[in-house]
Amino acid sequence: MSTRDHVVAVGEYLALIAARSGFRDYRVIWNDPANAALRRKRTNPQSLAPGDLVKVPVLEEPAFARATDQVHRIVAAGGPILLHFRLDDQSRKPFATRAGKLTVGGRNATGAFVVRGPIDRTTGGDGELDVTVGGEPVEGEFVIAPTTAADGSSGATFRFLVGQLEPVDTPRGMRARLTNLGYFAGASDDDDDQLAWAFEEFQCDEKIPKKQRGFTPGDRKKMLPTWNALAKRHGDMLPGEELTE
Amino acid sequence: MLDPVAGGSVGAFPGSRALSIAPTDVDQEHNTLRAPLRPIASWELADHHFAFDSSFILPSMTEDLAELVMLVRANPESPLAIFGHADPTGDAGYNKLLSGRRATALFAVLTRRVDLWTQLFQNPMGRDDWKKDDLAGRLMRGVVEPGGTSPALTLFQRYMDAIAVDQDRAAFTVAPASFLGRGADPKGRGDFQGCGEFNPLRVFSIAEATTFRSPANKEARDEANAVNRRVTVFLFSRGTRIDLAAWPCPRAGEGIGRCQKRLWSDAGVRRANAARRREQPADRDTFACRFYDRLNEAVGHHQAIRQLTFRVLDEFGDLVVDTVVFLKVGEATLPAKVGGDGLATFRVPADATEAVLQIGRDQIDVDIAPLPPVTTVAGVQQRLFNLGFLAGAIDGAAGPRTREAIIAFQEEVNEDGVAIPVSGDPADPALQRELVRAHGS
Repeated sequence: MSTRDHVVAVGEYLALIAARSGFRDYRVIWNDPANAALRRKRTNPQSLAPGDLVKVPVLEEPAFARATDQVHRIVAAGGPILLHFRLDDQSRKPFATRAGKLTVGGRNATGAFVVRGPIDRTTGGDGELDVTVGGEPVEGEFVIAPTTAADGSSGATFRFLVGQLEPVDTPRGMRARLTNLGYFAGASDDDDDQLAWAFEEFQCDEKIPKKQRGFTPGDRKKMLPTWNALAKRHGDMLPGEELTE
Repeated sequence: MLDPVAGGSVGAFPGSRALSIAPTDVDQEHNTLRAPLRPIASWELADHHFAFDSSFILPSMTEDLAELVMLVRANPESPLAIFGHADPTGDAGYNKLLSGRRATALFAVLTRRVDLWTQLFQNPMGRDDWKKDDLAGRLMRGVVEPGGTSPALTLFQRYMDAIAVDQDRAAFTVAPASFLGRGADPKGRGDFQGCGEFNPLRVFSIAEATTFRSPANKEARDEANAVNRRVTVFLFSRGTRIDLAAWPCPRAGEGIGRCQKRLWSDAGVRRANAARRREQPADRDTFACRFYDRLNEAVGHHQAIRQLTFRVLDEFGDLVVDTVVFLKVGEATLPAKVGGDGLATFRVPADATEAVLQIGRDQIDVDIAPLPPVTTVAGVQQRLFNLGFLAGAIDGAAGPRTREAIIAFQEEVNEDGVAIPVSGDPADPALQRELVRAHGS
């Protein structure tokens, strides 16, 4: 099958690119032989870097356009988007079975920005929260109110941007995961000092071997154990998906 | 399944910075989001409010305590934690304990734990001997001797009630449950602690350190070190709870062992004298403790703090005086007492761009941006807007509404006895002069 080139933009992930290109399953694109280089470079198809090149197979004309009846409906080709969270409190313990309010904003089939919520959701026993969203989710928030009892527990507000988690071996990807994990990694994209200090904290917490500590973005080999530990702790990398040289 | 419905717009979620996440359809994959331990505001108590070399709190602390209670009351769901600091002169272990004793003394006065003061009094440590202080001695002498505890407790209690008063001179207390450790640990874990000498605001240059080593210069050294001897209170993000077992700081009465495990890898460099004097917030490299340094960075202390001053007028244009007004910046609500001059001053992080000023029941949105010069139309408009004469947009174009507002202002200036032409002209120098006077800038 022939392919066309798609250059990834900020906020794009493969499930979104697939949906917009008429694929219900992004794996058709990911597993296409034309994307072998992309698969070697990136471990998670939903965590791509702006500028990455995706080869999108060119579909034949969709069936509904050839239909002979007069009813022409726009069929959203993409499936729903799934968002999986693990939510921890300030002590790094899960927000277990806690009630919260979820709000998600995104684009509907006509491209209009719409907001849904707040709706009541309760986290699971490990702080997990699974959300299924139609359309193209862009941003959202989940608000856990503090409990007021004498032995009450924390509240928190998690605001999130969907599809902006870039690969762990990119500056924005490192900062985003460290920030998600509660480390202070600096407020701006070019604050390398704070990023380095956040890595020192992370490496200490994760007991990364002394020889592999430090922040040496130019030394890929030395950073690999830290990057893999970071993506695994964050949850977007599973065992067997580790970055290699 | 959540299907988007109509309403809202991008950026509909105010508050803290958004986190970046990746969607996934793989079962075990997820995005871990941790609520950060994040202070939203801080308060600091200077060295001179303690007796010399002592943890005894002097009556001069009253005004600062009134500010603290305003801050605590304005942010009732934000737990607080106290961090004492010593200067780096002398022994690290001693300094840790002294800073812990000062933190303890402050916690005790806020919570009326008279027993903690009694312990400090009865257990002097080195130069920190309350019996040597006239006032503390008078409060305690003879009455904490065996058999005579209750009069001493009464005197300490009365002294605490006298110095911990709010701006209406009413005695206040802060409940132990309002602290980060919720008062759960009898020895204050998470509620109050001493950082010792590990987190100074100022590190001397090599030249200064050499000079100060001479005994003749001890007084000058102690004075230059005064900024380092302080007690800091952080207010944490609303509803924050901590796991006491995982809290990194040792208790106020414990040694430096656990502190040393938390030092940055370059702590030696951070603490050493260098070619030039280094200071917070400019240099950002004087705190040796990783944990404290990060708390401090997250609260925005590293940024130059900007001072905002408002003159508060009521709807009749009269000064509002002797009240408390509030400025909401981010999650924090900052209080400020309006003095007889009608001025309220706030210290906000330099990167804050918007805030809400709350005067009684009125809420006023404030854009924090440089005020355009009065010689520009926008500068005239902004001042007229702030003074309540102009309701329209600040667009830099002198339209009919701007002219009307200028005329209304000029007429009022004339009514107040300053004769200026009623020109309606933004370029009128007399108008500009009077606008700057009325606006205060």
